[in-house]
Amino acid sequence: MKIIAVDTSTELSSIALVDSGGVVSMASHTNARGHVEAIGTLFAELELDLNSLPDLIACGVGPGPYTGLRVGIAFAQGLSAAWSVPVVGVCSLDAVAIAIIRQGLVAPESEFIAATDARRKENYWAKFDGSGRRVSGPSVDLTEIVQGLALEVEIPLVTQVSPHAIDIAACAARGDHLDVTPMYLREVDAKPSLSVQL
Amino acid sequence: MSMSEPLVLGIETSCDETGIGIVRGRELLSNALASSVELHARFGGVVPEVASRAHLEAMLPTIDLACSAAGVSLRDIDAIAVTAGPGLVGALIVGIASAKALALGLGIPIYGVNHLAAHVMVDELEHGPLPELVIGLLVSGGHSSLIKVSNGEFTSLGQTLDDAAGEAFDKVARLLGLPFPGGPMIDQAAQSGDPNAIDFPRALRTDPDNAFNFSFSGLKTAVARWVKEEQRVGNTISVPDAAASVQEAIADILTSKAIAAAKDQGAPHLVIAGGVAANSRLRALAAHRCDLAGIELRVPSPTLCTDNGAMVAALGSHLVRVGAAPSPIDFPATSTLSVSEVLF
Ligand SMILES: [Zn+2]
Repeated sequence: MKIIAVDTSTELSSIALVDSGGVVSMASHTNARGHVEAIGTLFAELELDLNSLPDLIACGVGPGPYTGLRVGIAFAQGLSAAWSVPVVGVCSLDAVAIAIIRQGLVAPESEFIAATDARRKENYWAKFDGSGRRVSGPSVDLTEIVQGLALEVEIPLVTQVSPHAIDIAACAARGDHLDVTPMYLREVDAKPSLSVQL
Repeated sequence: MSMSEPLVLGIETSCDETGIGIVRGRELLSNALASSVELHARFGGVVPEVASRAHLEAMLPTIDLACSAAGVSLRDIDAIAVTAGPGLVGALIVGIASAKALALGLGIPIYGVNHLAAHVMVDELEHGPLPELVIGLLVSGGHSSLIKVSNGEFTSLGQTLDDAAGEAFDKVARLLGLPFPGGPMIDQAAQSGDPNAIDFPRALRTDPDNAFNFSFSGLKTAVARWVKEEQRVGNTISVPDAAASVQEAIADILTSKAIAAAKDQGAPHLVIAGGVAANSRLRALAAHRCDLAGIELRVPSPTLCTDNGAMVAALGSHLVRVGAAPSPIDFPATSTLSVSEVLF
């Protein structure tokens, strides 16, 4: 099964073409503010043959900062429409958990919490079992609360790993399919502007 | 219309409307729209995050709608055009990311275009090629501009120094206790009012340094003062009279400056575009004054005046026709963009 995966839920934008678990090509870019600029270039770097389309498109649906998050989702949806290929969502923290285990950042078979930056001194986080399956979350809370929680239950908290498209593809390949809807987790913090902008 | 003309799909997400339009050459095939305006009403204005969320949700259904209404498949599309700016960055980004995926996925060129220029160019879909020299009066919730369009080159002649005309309508509507969006409400209330009941100010009317600029913030202040004074002396506020008088002041200043600009530039044609172009008094007064001045007036239908995808497709189609180079694939969303920058 050939999967194209995208994730823009953190500062890292990434895109990958994976075939039967093997990475065919991938590209990534680190810049919190440059997702919409980078996404097209990253796709071009895959050098995909448009005559040999993937079977599935997978995109990280967060949680993550909204503006960047929407770039990857809109892009994945657009590819899906262009090719008539199905698109599925993957929790970006699930991809982080796969990377954490692969990189040996936690002891084998141990539970852990994976967290990413949610700005405003907060983290997006979820708790995983030793096989990397999510057992609770995702949630968004103050960093100190997440740290306190990890201490309390005495399990490692891993905050330095970003979700990568390769791991998004792995989640999709094992059948973790979510709706293609951003995990916002927070209500709109509506600042009523006086009037329309345009 | 020849089948050999390019089929262009336009995407517009600069504010609160998700618009997808499809044109073949200058022929309008479809213009699908999803609006989040109702989600914003309770805030009294457009909330950018609410708009961005709504764009992402509406994108695929609206593309589907546009394709089926036009009777085409995405695989038939020859080029993609998308609003690159000006507008709300978070909202623009959704349209641009979608557009880049369509262009790359289909292997076709992409044009990141100027929203303001698209508002003027949409007129070609109804009234044929724009004449060599045209003045555009662009009036909406975010813009009040006078634009010169000469052989496809866009130049700004003037703009509002403070509030946009549509913004003035919204703010005055709020002062009069009318709901958002204010423009249509004022237009409706004004139908039974006297446009000469209250003499509201016409700012910059005779200021030679600001011949083609506008200012509407004083109008809002004048209405606030009038409401307070009426209340102080115990009069019942006549909303229809106030609405008609405000509408008259706005229509008067917009049309007089637009016609002055046309005369100044020797342009025999005026195009009025943008959401405020749907205002009935503005249309009537412009028609009357253009008649007197011997200027041909072109006003697109209301659905083409408000933000929509067809206008973006129309500008994209124009750029394809004149052989413009497509945008580089890494073009950004730009919140402020001069009308002279038609293509990114
Ligand atoms: Zn507009």
